[in-house]
Amino acid sequence: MPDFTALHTAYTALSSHRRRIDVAGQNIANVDTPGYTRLRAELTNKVGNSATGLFSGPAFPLGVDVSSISRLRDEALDQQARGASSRSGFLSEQTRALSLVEERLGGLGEGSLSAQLTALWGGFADLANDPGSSTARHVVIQRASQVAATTNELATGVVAQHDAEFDRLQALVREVNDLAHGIAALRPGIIAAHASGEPAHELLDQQDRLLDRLAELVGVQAVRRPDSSVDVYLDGHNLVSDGAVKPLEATRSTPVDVHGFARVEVRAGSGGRALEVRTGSVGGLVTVVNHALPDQLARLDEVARAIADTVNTIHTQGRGLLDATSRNLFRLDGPNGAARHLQVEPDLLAEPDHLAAAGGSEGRFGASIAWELARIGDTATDPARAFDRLVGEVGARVAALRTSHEAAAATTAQARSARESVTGVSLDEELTNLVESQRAYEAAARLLTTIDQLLDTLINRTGLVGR
Amino acid sequence: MIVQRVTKSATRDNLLTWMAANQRRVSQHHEQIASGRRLNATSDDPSASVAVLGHRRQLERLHQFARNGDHAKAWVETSDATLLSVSDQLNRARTLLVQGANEVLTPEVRQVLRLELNAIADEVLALANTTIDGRSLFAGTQPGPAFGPAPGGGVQYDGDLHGRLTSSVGPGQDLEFGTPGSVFVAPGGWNVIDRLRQAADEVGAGATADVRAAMDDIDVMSHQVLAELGRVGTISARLDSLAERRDTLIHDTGRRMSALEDVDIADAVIRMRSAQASYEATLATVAQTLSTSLLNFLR
Repeated sequence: MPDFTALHTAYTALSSHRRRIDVAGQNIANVDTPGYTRLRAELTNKVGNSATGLFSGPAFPLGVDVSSISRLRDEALDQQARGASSRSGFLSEQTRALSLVEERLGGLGEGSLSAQLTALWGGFADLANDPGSSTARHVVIQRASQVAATTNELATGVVAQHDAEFDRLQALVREVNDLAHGIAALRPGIIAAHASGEPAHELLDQQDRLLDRLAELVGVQAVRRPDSSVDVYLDGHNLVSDGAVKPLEATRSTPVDVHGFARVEVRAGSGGRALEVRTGSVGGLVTVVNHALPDQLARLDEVARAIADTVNTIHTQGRGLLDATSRNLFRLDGPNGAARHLQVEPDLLAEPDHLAAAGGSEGRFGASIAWELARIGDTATDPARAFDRLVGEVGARVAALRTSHEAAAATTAQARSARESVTGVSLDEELTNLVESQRAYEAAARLLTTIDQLLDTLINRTGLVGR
Repeated sequence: MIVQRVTKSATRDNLLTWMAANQRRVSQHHEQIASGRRLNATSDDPSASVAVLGHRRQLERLHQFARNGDHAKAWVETSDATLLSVSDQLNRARTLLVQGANEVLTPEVRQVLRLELNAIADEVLALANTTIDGRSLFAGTQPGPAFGPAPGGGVQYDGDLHGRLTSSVGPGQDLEFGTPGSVFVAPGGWNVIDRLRQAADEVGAGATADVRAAMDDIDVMSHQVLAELGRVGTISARLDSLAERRDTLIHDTGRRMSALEDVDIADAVIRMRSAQASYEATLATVAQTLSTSLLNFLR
């Protein structure tokens, strides 16, 4: 055992505990930094190998060493938190978009389409009570125009929202690409630090923050390499690999469906294959633009067609005040886009007296047709009823989405807090470490003093006994 | 046992989440109390919303039925009054005809009776052409007056003989309420106005046998009018009972709707107070928790 080893031991203790205090300081300084991962100085006791050869003996202690500064992070918890936030993003986008739809339908409001339709049936009844009246006809035509205008507005609202949601999708995809570039840009620094053995904690924290956001947006799969850099995959597409980014692109396909909507795809690069994005905000938006909104418009078209058909079928059997020509009340141009194109026949708009109240066999002041039109409101096929059903369904869907989203948000919060309990800084813990390190430092200093005194005794006092 | 580390940011995040949740609850109750409505969007309670929408449509329909019923009622009442007047006039004509059948009357008296009978014919014509809201009461679905001049002199019925008017007074309840002008036309095809004028001439000419025949004809007509009066009375009673039932329905539907969509204020206020209390408790906890650490105790 070499001489003065204890002196060296004391030195390793001093420097190691200084290092621990540094790390505690770093942790305390970053107690409120979002995405900061706490560090821990890992201490190991050093054991000196006895020299091999002639004087080999048992191993002897050589003090303590900071073997590494570890970043306390649990990959499994990361995965869990990211999975939860992907789902939360998926549901949050759908909830937001469908809430807009619900708001636009104005189901419970006084001026909803269903209320306007009921007012139209009422207008027919008022006309039936006074079948010779031009005023009553004016009122009916006005209400019919209002119904048509509201239906048009609802439909164009869906189309406008479709455009807006697509713009939003493009913005999100741009953000995904930016994040991917950010992750790729971090790679050289991380690899260099890894190679040199110097910890690159800030870079890794940054990488995790980017991955968190990416997970919320598209729910990617991140594969950590041995050199601490990551590759990012999305439905088998290597978004980031080897520091190279293959960006995504949101496209609208040309084949337009019956409602005038193009199918929206997220593609792997321009001209690449269409990816299935089933989670994250982007996945939510894709669902909204490819399913929720087209469904919505199809339902509105059904309602519009029901309005035109039920009214026209009856109205054509009647006659107006001026002549016996049979006319439609509503006009639909073409089989598609019924809700967008519903309008009152221009003929009747120009001359409301053409509105039929009397049946074919009745006198001009007959009212059987007007009554029959008014009675639409009592039938099971009342379009107002169909519209209310639509409103109810959207409401139920929003309520269900909201509940799932709240649950997902709670899960996300839980997963984050589980992760936070590993990666986060606890002041009490750091302060305890601080006190501990301080005491250890003091004790090491004491050791130094003791050995110094021993040496003093050995060097200066040896042989002076009894002098 | 899993010892979960309690870190500062986890504590902070949790507290913020709770605070936000509490605040949201308080503001939800605020909104409900301020608007007085439990349902502010369909998604607040989809099934209740659908029920409310159904009730609202029904209420709107019921009000419309009430308007239809009122309209029919006005029509029926006018018919009733008019037919009653016609009946009076016919009774008066009957009395005059009884006088006119007397063979010993002087020509002057016959003349007076003739004039009076003609005046009654004019009055009955005017009554038969009574209008309501610009429409002829007895013309059925035809525009214009019920009785107009006939090509060969006299008057003829220009309205529908079959055209009884109907009104929709309830879901699936259609009520015939109009009186066609056929009530003034005898099964033989002659109408009461022409018959009265003819009888006047017969009285003037002193043809007592013809006058007696006229008395029988006027009796036939009186019966016809009285029968129609009875029908009108039935319809009027039916309309009244329908209106009563409708009012009950309107009241019930309104109450059901209110139960679904209106806020129970006492309940809402208590809920708001408790939400507020838990919010304040959270705030107090935040103030305590965040300021406490080992630092308070280390020297």
